[in-house]
Amino acid sequence: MTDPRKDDHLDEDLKALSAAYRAASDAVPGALGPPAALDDAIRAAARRAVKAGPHPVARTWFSRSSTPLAAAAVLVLTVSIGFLSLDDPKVQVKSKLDDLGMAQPSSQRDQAKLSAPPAEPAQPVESKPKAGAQARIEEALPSAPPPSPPPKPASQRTERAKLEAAPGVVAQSPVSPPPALYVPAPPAPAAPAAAPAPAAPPSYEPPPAALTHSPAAAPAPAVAPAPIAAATPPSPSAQPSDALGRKRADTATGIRGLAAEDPQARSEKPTAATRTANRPDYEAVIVQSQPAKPAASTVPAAPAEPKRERPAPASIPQSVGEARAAKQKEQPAVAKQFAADPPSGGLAARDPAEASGAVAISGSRVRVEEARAKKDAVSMDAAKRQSEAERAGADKVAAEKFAEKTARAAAESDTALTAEDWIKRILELRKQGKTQEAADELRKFRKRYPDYSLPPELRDAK
Amino acid sequence: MPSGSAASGRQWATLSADMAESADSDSDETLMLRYRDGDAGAFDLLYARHRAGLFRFISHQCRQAERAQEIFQEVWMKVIGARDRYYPDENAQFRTWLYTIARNAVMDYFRGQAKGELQLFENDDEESVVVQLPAPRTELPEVRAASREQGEAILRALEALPAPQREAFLMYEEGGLSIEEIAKAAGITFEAAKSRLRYAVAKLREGLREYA
Repeated sequence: MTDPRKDDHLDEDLKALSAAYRAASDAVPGALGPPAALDDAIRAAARRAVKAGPHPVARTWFSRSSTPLAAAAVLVLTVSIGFLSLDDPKVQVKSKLDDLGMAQPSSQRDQAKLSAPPAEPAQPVESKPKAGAQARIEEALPSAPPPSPPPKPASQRTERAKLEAAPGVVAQSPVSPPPALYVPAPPAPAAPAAAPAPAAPPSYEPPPAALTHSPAAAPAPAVAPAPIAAATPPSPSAQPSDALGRKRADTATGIRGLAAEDPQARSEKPTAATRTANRPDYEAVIVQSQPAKPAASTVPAAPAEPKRERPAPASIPQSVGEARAAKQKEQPAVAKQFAADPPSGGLAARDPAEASGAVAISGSRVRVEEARAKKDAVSMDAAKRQSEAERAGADKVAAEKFAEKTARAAAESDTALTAEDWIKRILELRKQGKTQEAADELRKFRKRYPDYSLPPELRDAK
Repeated sequence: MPSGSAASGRQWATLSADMAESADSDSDETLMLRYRDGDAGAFDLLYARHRAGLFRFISHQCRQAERAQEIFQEVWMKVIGARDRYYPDENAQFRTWLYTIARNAVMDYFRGQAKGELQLFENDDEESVVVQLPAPRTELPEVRAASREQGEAILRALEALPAPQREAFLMYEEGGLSIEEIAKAAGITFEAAKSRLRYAVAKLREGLREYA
């Protein structure tokens, strides 16, 4: 193939012209090149340039010191970020969480992956790998209960992990309230109180109220366990206390978990009482963010238990109406308490979720909140106790409602199962001569089963 | 015994012959790199290779001897000053680089002295170029007086060429650049360079026929 760029005619013409041009150029005087003086000047300049060496680069102060300045800036930035990271509680919590996750025996993790243990072992830290193992356990079991409540926000998880990782926190069993919400309290008063905790019915137990009381301080609501057990799917190990213990360990979803079980309670608009009931958790998180400081001393823990105005288990109202009445009685007391000693800084009026988010925003914000919380610790403690009582009452009401609902559903299911028996019973009543009763029963039956095809003998009764 | 001056002359001749041999083996790029690294002799060889051609390229363009010498010196001084930044490239040979510098210097001259010819470079339409051609310098009395021989007819025809075509022909003839290198040095496409060269050849042939 020929080169498209090659032009033979042009090349031939150029060759012919080149010879004529060369001859003409050589004949012209001065066409051979520049004068000799110019040649000498140019060569001398070239030699001078070579002797002078490379061009001296005029280096300014900035160009000279740019490299050390850059290195120093990088160093300062790195150190600053490091200090900020150490100061940031979120980072601390994450690192501690990672440490704990790594510190967990691998055999235990593998066991959790491969087999479903009969009872959930005591694990104070609920790290992400643990959550994955739990999910695998639940998937592996066909009769596993429905998935646990939705995961908590990251801020709550990290705060809780931080609190759990704090020194002096004793690992608690899943049945007992979460250890994260407990400030290292004087052991003497708390020890006897902790004993009856496992015996208390775990169902509908209000979420642990932060650090103001021990687990035993939470009164066991007088709710019949049977309907609750029917409402709550049994765990694989047939130990409802485990599942409920997990719920209790989930501090942030204490109330929400209960609301999730009861759609009616979930649909209820959050009242001031529920907000107040959630506030202690938030404050506990704030106070617990400084485990080295004697935050527990500012808030009376177990020793303050007798002061609490909570109804004794024996005095729990047995019906929904009584519970509502008790709640209405308690509400003015709480309002009076707040009116007499209003919390400063709007901390109490803040939504718990928002407050938890504020904790997660930055360490400085947390410190501000801590100072605010310390300032109001005493007044808030009284309010917390009131709110606990309020919450207990609300829980009881919800439990009663649920029990009623469950009983009604059970009765309806029984009736549905005995539809044909109902017809037989009506027929028997007619045979026995109880026509009036049979007519009433038949009316009830038609009302309940309008589309049911009646036997011929009963059709005549129309 | 030969005198000292004669001995030194023979010795210089021997050295020059050695340098000429080495100069033949070294490319322009190698010589320029050697000069960049401090070898002043490499520049002498490089200068000797290109001085005549470059000077004719400039003098045929600017047509003023003194101005041509100034431009010539300016070009070489730019080469000397840019030696530290010189880096050989496959697509940019030394000749291309040298004639690009020379072309820019000539364009600066046109900008100050002959704006009419500069417009010819800006207007690349060859047909319009022919229409806008100024009066051939061969018609001028001094040029006619200078062209006494038949061989000089081509020079007159060359001077009569439009500047872009003359530049392309001089780059090809004096610089030894290919059409592609001409296009690169002039900053135009290959087809444009080829077209300019073709027009130049046609007009030079016509000029030679006229003065034959």
